[in-house]
Amino acid sequence: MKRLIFRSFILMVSIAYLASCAEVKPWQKENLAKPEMQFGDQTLSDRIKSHTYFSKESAHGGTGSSSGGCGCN
Amino acid sequence: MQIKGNNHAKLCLESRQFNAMGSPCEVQLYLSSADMDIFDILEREIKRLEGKYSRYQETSVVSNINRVAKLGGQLTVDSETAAILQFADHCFQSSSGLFDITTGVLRNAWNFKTGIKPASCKLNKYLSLVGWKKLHWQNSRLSFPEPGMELDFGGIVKEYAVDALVTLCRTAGIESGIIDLGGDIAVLGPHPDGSPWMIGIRHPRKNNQPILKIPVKQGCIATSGDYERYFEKEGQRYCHLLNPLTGQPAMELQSVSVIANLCVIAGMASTTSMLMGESLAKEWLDSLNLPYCLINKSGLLTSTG
Amino acid sequence: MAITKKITPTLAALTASAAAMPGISGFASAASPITEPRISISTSSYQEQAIDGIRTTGTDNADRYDIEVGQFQLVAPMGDNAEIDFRLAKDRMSGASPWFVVEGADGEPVQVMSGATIDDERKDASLEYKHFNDSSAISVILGISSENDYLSHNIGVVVDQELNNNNTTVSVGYSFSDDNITATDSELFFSRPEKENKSVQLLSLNVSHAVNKNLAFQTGLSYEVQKGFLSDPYKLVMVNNIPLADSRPDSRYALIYVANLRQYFPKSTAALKIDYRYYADNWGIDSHTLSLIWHQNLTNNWSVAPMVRYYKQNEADFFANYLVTAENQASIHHSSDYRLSKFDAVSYGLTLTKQIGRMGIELSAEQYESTDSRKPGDSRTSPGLVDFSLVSLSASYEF
Repeated sequence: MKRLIFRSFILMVSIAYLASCAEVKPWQKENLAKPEMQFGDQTLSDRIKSHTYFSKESAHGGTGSSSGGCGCN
Repeated sequence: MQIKGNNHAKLCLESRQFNAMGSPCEVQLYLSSADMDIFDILEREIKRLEGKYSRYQETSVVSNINRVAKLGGQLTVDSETAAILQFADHCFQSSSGLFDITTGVLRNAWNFKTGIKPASCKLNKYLSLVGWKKLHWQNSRLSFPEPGMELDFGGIVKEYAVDALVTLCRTAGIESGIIDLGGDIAVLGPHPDGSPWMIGIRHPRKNNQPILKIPVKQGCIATSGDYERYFEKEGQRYCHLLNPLTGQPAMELQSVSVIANLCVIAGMASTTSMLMGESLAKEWLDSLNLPYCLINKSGLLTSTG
Repeated sequence: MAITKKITPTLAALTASAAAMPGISGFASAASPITEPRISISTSSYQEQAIDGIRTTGTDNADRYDIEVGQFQLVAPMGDNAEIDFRLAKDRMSGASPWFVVEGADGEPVQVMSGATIDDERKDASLEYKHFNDSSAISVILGISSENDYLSHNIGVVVDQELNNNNTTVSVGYSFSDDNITATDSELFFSRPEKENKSVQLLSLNVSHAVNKNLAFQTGLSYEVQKGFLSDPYKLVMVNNIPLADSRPDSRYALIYVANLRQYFPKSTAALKIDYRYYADNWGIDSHTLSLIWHQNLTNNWSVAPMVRYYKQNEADFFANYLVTAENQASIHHSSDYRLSKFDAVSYGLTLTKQIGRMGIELSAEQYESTDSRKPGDSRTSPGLVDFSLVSLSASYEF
């Protein structure tokens, strides 16, 4: 687990570093702004899928939206 | 909305006319029949901007700002308004202070309906309330240290709306068409056969008659003229374009049209040129490398590009 | 006349500040609230496939869960700088669920399903208020979920900060959930507790970044702490042929790492979405999840998005289908819950969308299959693994 934290930390720092190099201008963000380019659950069907995985698998979280408590798990 | 890829559907020239921002507007686009809802999207966007930036609507962002400005206070604005103010700040700097969105308060001195020149004391009183540099502006926080000032987005928002509609059309994959919001015009791209659109420049002394037609394949064109609101006294025309430094109307030119990639740039450059006067305007427009068409006091036309 | 002239530095600077206006960039420079209210409704049907199990009453193969879900969502602007997101969901579930596992005639484990068909309803409501500042946003989320045997209240706070000219977003979130369990028929079943409580706390940090105009990347780390009654009141474990209550530790610490990527392909007007997650907790479970979606835009405002997802986990330290131990050596913690066993699963699906004016319609279908890679005598995998299908039909309208 410690190794995982360390690795993730290194990755995040390197991304922050990358971030400081390149720059996307506001008027170049048309494609990035599209709904299909967003992270996390977007639609109601995304949401029910995440909720279903949450209730049928041990691993959970990371989708950005916390699904709250549920007797299903 | 999605970009259409490899759209082989037959394109037809469709158009819609409507009134917005106090002007007649017309949009002509080459569309496949499935894309007709683009007109609703465009109209909705222009109505959104009108509702947000009209001085005449009580609930608009501008009315809200001006209520604060009148009393001399401060407020936080939304990110879109902040970006517009940022652009206004750039315009102010690039025009040596001639393009100033605080100029509108001078309308209280100049009454174009009664046609009476203001007394100098009255003019000076309002002139003291003009000056972008007088207000403090940082991030999205706007503060008015002295009461009585006014902001007017009239010189930016119609042009901004043209550019916004262009963005919406491009996002929808539309490559050919023309957007005309009361004389502020954007050409999305040439006709499907590659030929340019012919854009008429209005004759400053003959209503609804072009003085010149210019072919444009792509780009925006905005025109400022002394014919929109004015009165004449003793053979002199006093128009609504007021110089923020002197409080006096633009006198030397009848109209200036500028072509640029963005309509907000074309609009800002044409308004500034009107206030600069003939020789300064030519020099300034040349230094910016912007094509223009300028008609001086005696009706003489100069065109570049 | 065309604009072929060289752009001067003054004009370039002016153009840059003009292009930063959201209407022109086509993209709000920082995250901004929606401007028009939007309502969405959705109906979903979830069906588990039958397994070869023993049902305690009746002779049929066990009918597992069927769940019908209805969802409603309203997103609306609140003034110029805020929006609210209100959601309602109602599930209606029926069917039998895995109860415990016995050793079959040939020595293989056999799943025993609950006899009584469970018929339950869940109602879930949440309200999110999000306030936008110049380059940051704060959200507060309140939620409640209620079943006849379960009640959960949760609250969450998320702060987003835009950095690096809005090209990087750092989000920090915290949520807390307080759950109360009042098992049904606790007077009839010795193993069911009368009233129990658990809490879940989640702290997460996410960084997303626009790498170039067609590529965005997100990575995040979350830490979750669960405390209290974490067992399943309706499950049993056979220990030396005696059914005992499902018993799990009263704390669980989990670490979740995600790395997600979005690549847009302008020529084919398509987007590739790759989501990876690693999960590890102190119950001994670690897990990898990888999902790939190809979102293809088509003409006439249609889009189609095929999806494939791979999931893998190993078993919890205390997982056992059933236990045979020397007397007095029974472990304190044991569970036969298939969700704590070792398994992997593949799911694939397709989502179809169509935009008609202000209305959007979406049809989404998915098939999930647990792979039974169990070797004879392998006690780490449950015989009760689930296969299911999920179909959703949604519509949204923007005013």
